[in-house]
Amino acid sequence: MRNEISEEYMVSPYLIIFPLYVSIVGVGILNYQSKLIQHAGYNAWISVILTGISIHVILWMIYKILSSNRNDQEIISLNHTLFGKFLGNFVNLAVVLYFVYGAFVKFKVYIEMVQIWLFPRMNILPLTIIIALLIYYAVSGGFRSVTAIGVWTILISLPSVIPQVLLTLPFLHPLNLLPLLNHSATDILLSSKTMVFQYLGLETILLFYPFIKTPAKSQKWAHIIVIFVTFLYLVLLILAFMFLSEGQLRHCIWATLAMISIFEVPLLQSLEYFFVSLWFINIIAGISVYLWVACRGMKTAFRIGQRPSLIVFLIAAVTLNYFIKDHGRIEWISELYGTVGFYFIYAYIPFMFVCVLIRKRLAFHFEERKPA
Amino acid sequence: MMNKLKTDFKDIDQLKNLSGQSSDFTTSQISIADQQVSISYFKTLIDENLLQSNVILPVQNRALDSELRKLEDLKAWIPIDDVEITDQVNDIQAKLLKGYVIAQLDQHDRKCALVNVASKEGLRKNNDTENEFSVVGPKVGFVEDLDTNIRLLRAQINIPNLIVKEVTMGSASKTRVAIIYIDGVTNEKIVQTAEQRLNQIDYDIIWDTSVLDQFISDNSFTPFPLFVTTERRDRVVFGLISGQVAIISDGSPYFVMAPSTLFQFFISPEDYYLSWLLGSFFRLIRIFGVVFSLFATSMYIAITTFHYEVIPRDLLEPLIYSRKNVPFPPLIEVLFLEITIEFLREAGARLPTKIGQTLGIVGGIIIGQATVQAGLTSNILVIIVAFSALASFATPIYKMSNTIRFLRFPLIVLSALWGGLGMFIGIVFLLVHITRLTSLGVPYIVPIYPLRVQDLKDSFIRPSFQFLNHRMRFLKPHSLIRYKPEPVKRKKNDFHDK
Repeated sequence: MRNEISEEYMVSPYLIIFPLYVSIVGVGILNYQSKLIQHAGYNAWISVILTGISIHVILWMIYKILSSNRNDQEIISLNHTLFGKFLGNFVNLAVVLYFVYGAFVKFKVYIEMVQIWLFPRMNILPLTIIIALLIYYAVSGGFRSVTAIGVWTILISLPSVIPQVLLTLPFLHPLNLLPLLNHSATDILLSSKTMVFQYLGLETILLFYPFIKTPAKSQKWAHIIVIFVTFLYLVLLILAFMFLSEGQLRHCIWATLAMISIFEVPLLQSLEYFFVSLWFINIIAGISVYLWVACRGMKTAFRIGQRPSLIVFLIAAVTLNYFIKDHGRIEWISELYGTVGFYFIYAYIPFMFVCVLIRKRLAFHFEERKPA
Repeated sequence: MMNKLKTDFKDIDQLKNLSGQSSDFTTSQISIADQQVSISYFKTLIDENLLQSNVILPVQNRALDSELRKLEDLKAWIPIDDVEITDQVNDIQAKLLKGYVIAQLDQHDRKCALVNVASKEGLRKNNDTENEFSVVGPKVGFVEDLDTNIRLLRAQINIPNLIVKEVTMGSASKTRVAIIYIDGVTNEKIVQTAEQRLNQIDYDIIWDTSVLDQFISDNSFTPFPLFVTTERRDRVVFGLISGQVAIISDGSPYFVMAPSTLFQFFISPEDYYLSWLLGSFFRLIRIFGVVFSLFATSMYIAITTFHYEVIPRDLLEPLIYSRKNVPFPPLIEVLFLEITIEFLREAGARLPTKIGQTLGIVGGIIIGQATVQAGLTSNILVIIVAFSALASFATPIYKMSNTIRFLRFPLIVLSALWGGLGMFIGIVFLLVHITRLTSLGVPYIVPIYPLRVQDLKDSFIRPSFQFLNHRMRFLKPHSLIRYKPEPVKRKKNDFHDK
């Protein structure tokens, strides 16, 4: 079952922050604020912190699962050893489809954003075909190329966020944050649950783990990037809280873009239009990681080449994208993805964690009973 | 006929017969004392003075007091080092065509002596740089002769570690190709890869090093040049001392430096001749110029076609005013001007220098002015296009500036289709493309990806020499340190004294 991975295809441990960042952060960062406050109101910042902490626990579990066995280092082979061939394949198919679904949701949500902001009446099919070709080119470069797009994303998109933070400073109303605690614990937890959607993407590490040179060393970096993303979400959330009042924020779908729109440089204004285009690189990078992971899964689980599965996935994405136009349905699709992802993270991963622990214990007993 | 040209000969007679069909091939008998010696050569390839004064005269003088019995005597008598005695017909063929004279004791002997009297005439004497100029620094460039070029190199790298490996390539041209590197610095893996790639080439005539460049490149489906091509000696020497391999073919003034990275195309030797502050500033200007020249016109299209909201009100008025009379959409307007600039460049490159200058004035000023007055383009666009053309010529390596000008066109089309998003599609495609490229197996955009923080020092800026004492790590050189850095100088004054 094991595929030997040549060292020249691997990446250094610190580089995993790039694929992780791009697969976690997507379009959501531009509009998560208004969804988040539905339950907890302006106390939602506590939810972000709570979700962040729980994600750290999950990440720790992921590393425990993956480092439990030296021979089978990713989740696909582990499913095989734990559940047997038939059931294992079933679970693997589900995992692969989950990632393809995730990629599609990223794709669809971004295309919808483009339609809303840039081209409300344009035929979107040629655009999606070009984007699909671009994704094919990126993914077919292998994991190193996928990581490299992540590097470019961070180099290009983060410097555009930082000046924005500074430029909103004169327009902030810190008193918006008060009172500090006026919602029940249930409300805050419900908001935390909405926040989980913004962290989906972290689980891609389950599959690209063997492509890290010394995987154990990368755990530190994975935690660092989760801390960073939590910090980013927190900063943008608190800025939005201080920038808009609670009543305004409930009606402002694209809160992050609303903050960007006040930002002006000598030759250009209304940079949100520019920003929507710039976010393209982030989305492409995220989709590439997801699809690379899905194709890799197909290869290790079913011995199907990465190229045909990638082509099939992309054609499916373009066709589905063409037929799904209704906003309500897109909302439903991404909410369903959120739910599935929620259970993937909080049910499947802990379950695997327990299984691995039990298996380890059994193996340990077996070793002990063996006559020396 | 599908078979390849045959250039093998059975024996020396067959070779001489075929060569004899050319009118410049001469076979003559000269008498040395009482012995007849047959000599044959291509008149056009040899220096006849040299043949008379350094071969025939000395031999005839010696023959006065001793007897010529065998070819070895001839070798001892001729005061030229490069005399070889052989019966290998392939060897004879190769040397004959390089300007050697065949000397035989009997016309039909298989064995003969080869004497080197090759002529060096017809090569240019002037070795100023022709295309890569710099204001400060040496102006020594290479010429079309391999030996002269190697001599020029050895004059600056004065250690025996400078290794020149020669291979003969081209089934019809039999060109000498030299792989040059510094032993103890350059990683031998790079040398091996270069040699291996060169040996795999099967091609008839090697016109120029640029042909080799395309044969040994890792990816032929790319607009990017994967190796720096240069005619400047300082650039080649700098590359060699940093651990690169230099490849040159005889008859070409251009060296190929391998492996190269994207950054090296934007480095000019002048950066190192000026103080580091100025050097860094000019390098940044150059990199900014590249970015500007790539994206300026496509941004104009994106903004004027789709995103009018982005322009501040004060700027919108002059922009609308200048576009008021233009009957075309921005795409046609931009393509019209960009193609005009390309015409000017292409025509200017083919014309003699003096006419070229006149053409520049006619094209640049008159066409620009007239198109605006005729209402074919807007003023602002003329400014943008002119700026971006200027910026693209700031790139020190000509091949790279060609690439940049070429890449503008797909970006222009993409932004005409989908505005800012189209531009970013183009950008992402370029980024993915350059991250996938390698040059002799070394990633093209190192030190950015894979990130090498230590090598990043000499990329965007040119730091002071006290920080530049390490070689680039991505070349995996055998000795990492180039020199001992000088300590930081701090002028003594009352403020620093204890």
